Amino acid sequence: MSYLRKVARKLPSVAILAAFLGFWEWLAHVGFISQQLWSFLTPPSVIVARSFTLFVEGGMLYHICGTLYRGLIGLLIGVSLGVVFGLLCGWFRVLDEIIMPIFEFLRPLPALALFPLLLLLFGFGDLTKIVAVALQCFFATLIPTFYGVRDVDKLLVDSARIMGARGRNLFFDVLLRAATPHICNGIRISIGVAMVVVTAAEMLIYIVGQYGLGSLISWTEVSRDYPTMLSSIVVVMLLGFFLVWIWLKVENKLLFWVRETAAERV
Amino acid sequence: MRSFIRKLLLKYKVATLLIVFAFFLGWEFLSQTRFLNLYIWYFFRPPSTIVSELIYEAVSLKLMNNALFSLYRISVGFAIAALIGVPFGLVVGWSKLGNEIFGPLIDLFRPMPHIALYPLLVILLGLGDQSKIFLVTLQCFFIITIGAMYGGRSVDRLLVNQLKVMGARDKEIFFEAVIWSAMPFIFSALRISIAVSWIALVTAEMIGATEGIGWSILFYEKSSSFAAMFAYIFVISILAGLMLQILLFAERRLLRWHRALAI
Repeated sequence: MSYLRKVARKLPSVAILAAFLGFWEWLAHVGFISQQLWSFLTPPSVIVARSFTLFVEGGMLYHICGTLYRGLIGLLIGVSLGVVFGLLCGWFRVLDEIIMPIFEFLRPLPALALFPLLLLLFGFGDLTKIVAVALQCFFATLIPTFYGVRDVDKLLVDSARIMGARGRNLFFDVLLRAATPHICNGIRISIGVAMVVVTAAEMLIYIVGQYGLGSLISWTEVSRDYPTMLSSIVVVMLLGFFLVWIWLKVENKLLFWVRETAAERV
Repeated sequence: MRSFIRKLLLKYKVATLLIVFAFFLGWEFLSQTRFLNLYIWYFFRPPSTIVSELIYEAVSLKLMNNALFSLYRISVGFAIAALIGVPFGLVVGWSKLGNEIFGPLIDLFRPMPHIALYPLLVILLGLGDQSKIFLVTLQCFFIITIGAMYGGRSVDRLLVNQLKVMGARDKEIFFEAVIWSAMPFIFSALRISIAVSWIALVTAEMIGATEGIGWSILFYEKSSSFAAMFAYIFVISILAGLMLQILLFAERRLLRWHRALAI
């Protein structure tokens, strides 16, 4: 019953989406403004058909695997380094005072601005993209982790102290627990950011024999294969959505004691 | 005496400055002497060269031209996204009907990498400013909207009921309670979207533009003038940092009552 209700709540937005797609299809069918426009904005039916073909015989799965490989490895490196450094800087006052201003300065720098430099250092392979993703994710997790540990409720820390928590206990049982929602927030933002960065990086370098959805988008734009371009755009966007969706499920399990659901902590 | 040194080192950020200074000094030295004849010194030109290149770019007004183009694109795109996204998200989050209709839709679109749409936008809107502004708007809009939406949804119901008992009308409740309690959510969404919008803009400028900072970075990399490339990387970090600081300043002023994490 509750499942049915869940589905029913999604109905209006599904209807809007369907209406939008239907309108698009109709406009393309009529050839609104000019026929040429709709050869770029190929109607949804063509996109779906092309996606199907790509999945079955076009090696779309290779492209998805390539993007996922780079994105997830970079995410893993960036997030783990970010969490570790965030915890260290939040726990040791000296690091907070000395290192943190440097991180604060570097934090707004978009990793893609460093992309040409990374290209020179690491070449045209996967490493460049992985490093770009890792850089951006590092700062996206470092900052929430750091503030989560540093600005922990003083009352909590003091009561733990009174009850005899010292050093390791205080860190693992109080600070880390209290900071976990913030760390999860950082990771969720990082997943979205990682997808953006990996797609952008792949769109910037596309070489024959390199699988990746971003590369596929750039390739097909250059070769004017617009149905394939649009279906790879749809696939990469759905991929980003699904990664975050999976993480939200994990987060809700992980943070069972937090009152609001994961999605509601922006 | 010891406490004085400690205070000097930590509080006035002298230690940080020393580390940064040592880093640049080491870079300068290693680069000048071409340490071990490593090939990387070909890219990592000495900081003094980078500074002189920066001054040259600034004096020849190329820097200002590029920076203004990038700032124009990002600020217009960001402003459009904020001006539409915040009211829209607030209304949607506050009203039950809006939540039902638009909630799942915005949830669907938020985590998508909208940067993938850029080639399509180029085809439709051309290589000029429009496609870049639209990309920035698109990338920010859903993040900001969802922030405002959850903000509007998270209003303390007790507070609203109290206001109703005291005879407040719906309009007053919206302007006096809902907007203010949604502020922290909106600001955290704005902070995230600043970072993401710079990524989108830089990529867009690298893919296709004839001016702008992202374009300059790639242009100078391709023409092997790496000192100028570093100069522009430095400029972009300053500009992005300035935008973030302005936002943080506004947040601190507006949200004095809210003991927030200044993330």
